[in-house]
Amino acid sequence: MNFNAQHLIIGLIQFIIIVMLAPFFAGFIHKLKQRARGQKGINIFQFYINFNKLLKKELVLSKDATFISNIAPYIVFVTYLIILLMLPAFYRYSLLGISSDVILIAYSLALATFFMTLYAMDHGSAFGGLGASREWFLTVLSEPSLIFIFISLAIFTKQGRITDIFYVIQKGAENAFLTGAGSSTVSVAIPFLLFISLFIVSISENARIPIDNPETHLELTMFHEANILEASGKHLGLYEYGSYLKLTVFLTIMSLILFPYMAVNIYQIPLAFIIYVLKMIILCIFIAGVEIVNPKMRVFRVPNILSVSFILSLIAMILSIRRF
Amino acid sequence: MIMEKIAELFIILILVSVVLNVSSPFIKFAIKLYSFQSLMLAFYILMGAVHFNSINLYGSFAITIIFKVILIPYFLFKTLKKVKMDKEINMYIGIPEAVVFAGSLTLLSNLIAQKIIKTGITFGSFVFTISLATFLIGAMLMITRKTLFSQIIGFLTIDNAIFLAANSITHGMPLLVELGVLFDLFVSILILSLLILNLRRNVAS
Repeated sequence: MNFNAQHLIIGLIQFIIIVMLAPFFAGFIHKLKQRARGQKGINIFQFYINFNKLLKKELVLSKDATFISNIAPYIVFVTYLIILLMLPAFYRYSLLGISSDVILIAYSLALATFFMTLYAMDHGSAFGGLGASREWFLTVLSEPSLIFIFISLAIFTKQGRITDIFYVIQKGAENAFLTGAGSSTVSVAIPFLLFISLFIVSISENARIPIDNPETHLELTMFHEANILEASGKHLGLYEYGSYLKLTVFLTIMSLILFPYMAVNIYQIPLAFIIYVLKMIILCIFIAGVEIVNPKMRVFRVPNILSVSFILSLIAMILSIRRF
Repeated sequence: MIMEKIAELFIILILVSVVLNVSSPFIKFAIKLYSFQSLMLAFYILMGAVHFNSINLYGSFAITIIFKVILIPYFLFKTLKKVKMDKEINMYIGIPEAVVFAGSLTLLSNLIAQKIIKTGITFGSFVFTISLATFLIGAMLMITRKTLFSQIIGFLTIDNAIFLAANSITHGMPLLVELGVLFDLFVSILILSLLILNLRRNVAS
């Protein structure tokens, strides 16, 4: 009884910390990009202030809007919250860890995208339909690689839940490091392939620069922004916070692939938390670097890079099947 | 144990660079990727040399670095500068289709390699799979592209794949054989670049 209560409390604390940190990581990337361009840059906590401001603003809906517009922002936001409840960021027993199936995570992401595009079309503006079709163009291309990444992780470790997958990898690495013996769950090549593949997918899903530029409102370049162009007030706030949460979901999975270290008992938590924040900051610097170096890509060249990500995850899956 | 894992990473990087090569229409990038791919091959040979402590493999490492990483890309860049070509325009199939086709070739080579491994002639099954996949993708690159430059890159990729396969089956070829092969390759690149220049001069309007 005592043991389960501990899991419950620490899982809840972990969830609250990740949700609270999400705008900080997005703001950190934004600040880095602005400093690299020679600008002074925003306050690093600006996105918290924006969210607070947007919650107080009046909500305006189109006269064509149906009930979908009223529920869609909440569904999108709550879906990302549920995915974050499943992820073992720095504590192994996350709150929904028992139902954190990899397929469920992949399709929950698709569910959120579905309701966001419904919201975009519900308002009856021309930009909404345009944004929705572009968003699905990207999602359809990046979903196979996401599924393959998750499936190859599952085959590699013979586990179905994301908490167990990374725990098995962590155990294998620990054993190999301590005893020097080879183990079937230690590999350099498979995490490397999965990391690069997931990096490309997360750039496309989170509307980052080589594929989309979230800072502009130019109709020719809009992917993600065209969907939430009609949103205002509380709805816009929820969508913006949802996009930070989505970024955090992808960064957390990438950080777990990069270096899985999860606390098993209460004494390891401070170290695990410090390692988690360090990994996230390194990944933020990496993403900001990619965004600074690359120009925005032409839309019809996007399938090229996404197909590369698909093939890399396919090769990773072949390699993980070969281990049997 | 850790050496094996790092060698695995080098081999994977060879395959990744070939896939990237298929996905990009830029010739300069393709030559850079070829140089990188040869560097990874050289590192793999070096790890084998350290492991078996064989002088042949050390020699093979040095030759690969000199010819494949430095000299051949240098000549290709020089020819490219004279021809003033930067992008592959003519392709029989589009890039995404070609990349997915490359993935299916990898699957196919995995199936074939597992049959061959059962005969027991190889000791690195993983290396053999990757070299077969690289071989097939290089051949596909030669078939689907129309300009001579991309076909040269495909030819060089096939050569790298054969090198890798030879290293997976034996403990390194005799140095003399390797030197002969590399010299042949080098001369063929010289002839092909001369051919490109002459074609350009005679045919281009």
